[in-house]
Amino acid sequence: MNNKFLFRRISLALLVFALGIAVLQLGDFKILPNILTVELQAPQPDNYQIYYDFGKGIDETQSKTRRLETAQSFTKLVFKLPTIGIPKKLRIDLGMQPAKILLKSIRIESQGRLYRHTLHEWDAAAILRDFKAEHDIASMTPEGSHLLVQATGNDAFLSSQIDLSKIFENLPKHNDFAKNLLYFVTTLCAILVFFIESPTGLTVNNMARFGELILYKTYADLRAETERTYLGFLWWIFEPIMYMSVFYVMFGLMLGHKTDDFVPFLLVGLTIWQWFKSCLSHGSESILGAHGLITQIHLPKVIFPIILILTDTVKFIFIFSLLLIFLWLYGYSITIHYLALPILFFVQLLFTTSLTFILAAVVPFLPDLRFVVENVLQAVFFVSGVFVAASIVPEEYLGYYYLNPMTNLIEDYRNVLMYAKMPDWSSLLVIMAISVLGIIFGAYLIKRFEHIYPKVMP
Amino acid sequence: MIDNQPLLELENVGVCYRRKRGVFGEAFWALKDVSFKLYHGETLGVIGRNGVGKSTLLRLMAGIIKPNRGQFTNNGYHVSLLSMQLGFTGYLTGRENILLSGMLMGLRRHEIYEKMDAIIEFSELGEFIERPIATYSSGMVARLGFSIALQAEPDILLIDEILGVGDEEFSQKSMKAMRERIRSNKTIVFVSHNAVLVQQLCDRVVWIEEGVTRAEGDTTAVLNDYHHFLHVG
Repeated sequence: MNNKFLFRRISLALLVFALGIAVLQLGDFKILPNILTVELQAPQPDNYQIYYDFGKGIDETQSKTRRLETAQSFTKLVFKLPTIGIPKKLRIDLGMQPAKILLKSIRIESQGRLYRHTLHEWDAAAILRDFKAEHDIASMTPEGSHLLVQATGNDAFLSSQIDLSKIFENLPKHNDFAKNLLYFVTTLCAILVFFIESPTGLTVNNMARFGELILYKTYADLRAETERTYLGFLWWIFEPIMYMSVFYVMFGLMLGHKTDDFVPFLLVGLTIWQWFKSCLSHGSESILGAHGLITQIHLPKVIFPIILILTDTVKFIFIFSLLLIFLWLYGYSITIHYLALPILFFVQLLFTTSLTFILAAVVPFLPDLRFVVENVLQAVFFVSGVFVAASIVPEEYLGYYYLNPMTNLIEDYRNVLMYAKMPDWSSLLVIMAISVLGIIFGAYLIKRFEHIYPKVMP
Repeated sequence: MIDNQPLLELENVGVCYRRKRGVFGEAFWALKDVSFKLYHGETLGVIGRNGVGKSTLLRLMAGIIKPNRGQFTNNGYHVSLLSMQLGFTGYLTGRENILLSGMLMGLRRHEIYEKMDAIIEFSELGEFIERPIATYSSGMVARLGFSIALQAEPDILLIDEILGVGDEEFSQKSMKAMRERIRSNKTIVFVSHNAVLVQQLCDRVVWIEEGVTRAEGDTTAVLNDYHHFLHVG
């Protein structure tokens, strides 16, 4: 008996660990240069342009332009590079007027929502060594820690003279942040799995029985809900249609967002938020609400929040299908990026479940918490990027902005559904890891209080 | 002998509730010091006046709550409380409620399907079984509840009073079915304050007063003590 237990635990712990390693190996956490920063000072405002050569040669399509607004102090011009690999060659155009320009540094960085790595930095001496003045530049002379560049014509530029791929040869294969976090979380999960007795009360032996019960109760709850109205389950379609129409009429027709993408932008955010919110507010009351049942029979209490989450997820499937139809009617099309949707659903489900478990575990003791939850949700709603895009958030607060998992998820859904972009994998991974921990913690709490809930007054 | 190995053991068990919400509030001991053992195949009666902690005792034995002090041991048996109308949902049909209630009691789906016809027949609901139970009369709901409850087959069945349900005829029928169930070779704990029924049905009796076991043993002897206590005290 004991040996069997030990064996099962060791294998479970190993499984968790192997899963973590697999995610790390399969997941795309490569570091690629995506930001080029040039820090400089010039006597007048001007346009600066960079060209990058990924093997196709130098041309206008492979370039980015930024305007230097101030002549007062050193300014960082930030250019975004496409993340398709390592550029072979860089060309930097220093404005369109003759000028004495002070170059401080050129920096290549890799930046995600959660990390910022400097991959390479050229100071004045290094610029002099690795870059060559190619056109309209009279001289490049070191001046203190800066490089004084004398631009003489309207097309001054310098180009890199070395093979950039050499510099980036030893790039770490994964970004350290995601990697370390993943190692940490998998180890922790493995340890928890090893030491904590099945945190849910659901075991391999009774899984089939309770699985059946969970599914049937979900079906029964949904059916009971449809029986309550004349139109039944049609309301799951009509209600979101009415809801979406209100926003379409309000913003699309009355407030003049008919041509831009504000209405789809908003609806994607609202749909995703609605799923999260309904699971959380219904699920948190689930154990409290099952008081009548749990005083009559012993059941693993974790099934109650699971049932509520499933019920709300079924309704979400209807709403999401309608959202897709709306998006297609609006002119968006299906792209290869839709393949990321199941992963997004999965991560969001994990995140929702973790919060729901923790709340459901505590609410029977502190029923007042329900009102707090409602209001906190309302507050978080406004900072989750349902109404606004991340681009309006000032750069220095962006790190805090992305601390909210819902912000990340909503932006990822928009990337996939509207902008034909893949989600940000490393932030998804972080959300997933935190959620798994949260689920284990929540399930542990529920298990811990399993026999106390029936004693608590409803 | 294997038969002498008790299924459930209670040793100086105490259970306390909080009078107020949450972890605060004054403790209230529903059970203070209860000890007895339950053996295979017997029908054990538990008697006591109202409010002496019989329901708490049943919940404890069913594994719904745990004791705050003392030792409760279940040597690996499935114990459940006979509960009528468990999880009944008004908007669902009788048939759906049979499935839901049966699953909550611990039956598997296929087991319920096998017993479905017997349940429907026993309940005498006929055509009504396909209608939402919200449209039933209270007698009909009670009949359905009883018919399902009778199907649960745990290792140890806990029964909190047996009351006939429904009209006169069904009441007789349900009482008879319940007696048969109790007289069968199953292990049963039967809680009641009806001394006559306990005398008829039980092999052994535990008497609980104010959350403390006052006596345990032969039915007639314990019932005599109990009666004596009621008349004197």
